[in-house]
Amino acid sequence: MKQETDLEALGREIVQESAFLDRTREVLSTTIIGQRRVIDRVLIALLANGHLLLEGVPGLAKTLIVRTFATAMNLTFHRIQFTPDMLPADLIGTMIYNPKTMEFHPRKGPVFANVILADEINRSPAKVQSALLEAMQEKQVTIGDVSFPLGEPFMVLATQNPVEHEGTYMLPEAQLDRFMMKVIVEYPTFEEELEVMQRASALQASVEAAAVVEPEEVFRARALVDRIYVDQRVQRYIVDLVTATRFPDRYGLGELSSMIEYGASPRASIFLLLASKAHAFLQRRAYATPEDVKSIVYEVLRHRVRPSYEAEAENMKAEDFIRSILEHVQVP
Amino acid sequence: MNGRFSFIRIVGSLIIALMTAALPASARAALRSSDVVVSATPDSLLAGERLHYVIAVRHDGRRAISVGALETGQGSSFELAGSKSTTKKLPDGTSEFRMDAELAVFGSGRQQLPGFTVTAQEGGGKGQEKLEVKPPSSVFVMGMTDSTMTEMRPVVPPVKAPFPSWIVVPTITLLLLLFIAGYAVRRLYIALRTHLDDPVRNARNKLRSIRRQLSKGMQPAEGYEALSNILREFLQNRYGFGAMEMVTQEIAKELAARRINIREALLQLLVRADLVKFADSRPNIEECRRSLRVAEVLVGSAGEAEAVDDTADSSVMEE
Repeated sequence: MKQETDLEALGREIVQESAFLDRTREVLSTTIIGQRRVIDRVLIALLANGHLLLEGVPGLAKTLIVRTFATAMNLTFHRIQFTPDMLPADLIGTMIYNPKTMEFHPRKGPVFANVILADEINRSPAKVQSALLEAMQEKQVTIGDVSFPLGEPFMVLATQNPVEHEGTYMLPEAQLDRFMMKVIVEYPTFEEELEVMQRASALQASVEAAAVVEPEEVFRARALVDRIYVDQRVQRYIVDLVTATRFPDRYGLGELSSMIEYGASPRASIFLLLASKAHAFLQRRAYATPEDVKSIVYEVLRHRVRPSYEAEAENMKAEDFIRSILEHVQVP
Repeated sequence: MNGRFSFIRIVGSLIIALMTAALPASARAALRSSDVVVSATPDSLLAGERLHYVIAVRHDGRRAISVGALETGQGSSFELAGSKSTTKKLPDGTSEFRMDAELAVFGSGRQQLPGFTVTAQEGGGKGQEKLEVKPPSSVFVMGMTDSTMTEMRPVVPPVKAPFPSWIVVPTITLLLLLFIAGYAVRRLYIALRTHLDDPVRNARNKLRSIRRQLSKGMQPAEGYEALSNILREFLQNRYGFGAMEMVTQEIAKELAARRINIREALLQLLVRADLVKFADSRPNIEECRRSLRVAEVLVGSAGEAEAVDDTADSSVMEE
């Protein structure tokens, strides 16, 4: 009975502390038309302390979503356009010589912000990508001999274009794995696009988003997400889904064995659990269910499951494997 | 007296020795045809087969016997394939020379056994005696072809056996009977499977079993978990969608799309079971029993609805 009471109390706290989500959504809705799913995933990443990889063709308001989100959250925001001639120092900063004092002083790069939009991350060579991904992992940056901690919360939202691969450096699998989720930004619906067009064609200045959330609210929400109850059954279901990407034949999916070159890493299980808890928080629940897992499984697994050449020849994608796995792994 | 006797004996011995040396070889032990025994087995064989040909020569043992000039090879119906010669002492003090030959036989009809020459050679090459032997016996060789054939004859095609028309009626009857039997077995199997796999019947039996187990000490939480599994299995088997791999929200959408009349009550049970499974909710035993009874009624009503649907369908068909 004690646990039940705890969960009920936690549920009440969650309802109370999740009010900032509505405010954020409201502010975002004044600027962004549609893209509800992308906004939810950004919030999940924020609550679960993860990073996001956004993939979509240009012009789908990826930058606008991230900028508005950072403004609404009252967080510092930097947009970094990745280019082929970029150097790690352009990102993390460097030591500058001061002739007056005859000393070197650290000059912090654009990575020092709460929300980073790494635009077209695949346009820069591996050393720049690595510098950013190290910052994502370590939450600190070393310039010269001094290590500087990054701000909290620290969240990277990287974008890449799925259609234009010429002159790009695809992210290696080890680096892709650092992103909690990969979100596909879809085209808006007919009605949404109509509204986007009408708003964007107005000559008057667009409405500036207001800061409606304090970072402390995010930290409190994160603390509640940590306390969300995840039953053993749900945890086993998560591990089942991830294991099925590695050994599909154990789940009656023998035909996928030759189609998947390699499956998801244990980091996928961790992120799937964290994201499920954050999703439960968005639903104002004090416990996670298999529905939470299913809701974010595509985003967590799609960049961690690599199709084989055979699968690519048959035009099969990671999403097809995840769909098959969901249809074969029994829900608790 | 003794000296005289010895002299006579020595002289006598000399005379005998001289007489023996002066005797011609033929006078000592001349070769006779009766000393040569020939046998051949088998006495009848096919052309190309092997004949076991044995030549045995009995002699005094003081001369070397050999057999040569065997009439085989070109112009003969026999060909020597191999031979082995042995000599052995017989109990009566004489010796026997024996040659075992293997002959390949050709031609056709009765064939005289091949002749040969027996040679007796004195020690040191002093004298030689030869005896030509023509065995009187013969073997019968069955030729592979008809040797009387003088021209090519056309090959006559084999005569076709007439079709046994009497077999048609029994065969058709048998096939018909087999078909009818197979159809009957299949119908019986389907009826049995339908009866055993009836989702309504199975679900009700399982729900009753859970109720019994609750009385025997099963925890209510376990009862709810079992209830959820039974209901999802029932939905999967009854309505044919993958309810076992679906979460409650997905099942709700599926039931709504199919307009299933019991969906509201079913979903309430599934949601309650979800709370027990995932939110660590602790139901009491009475609540669990009540839910099981409700589930039993719902499953039963789904079965009745099915029966009503079937009747309605059949009446529409009749109209």
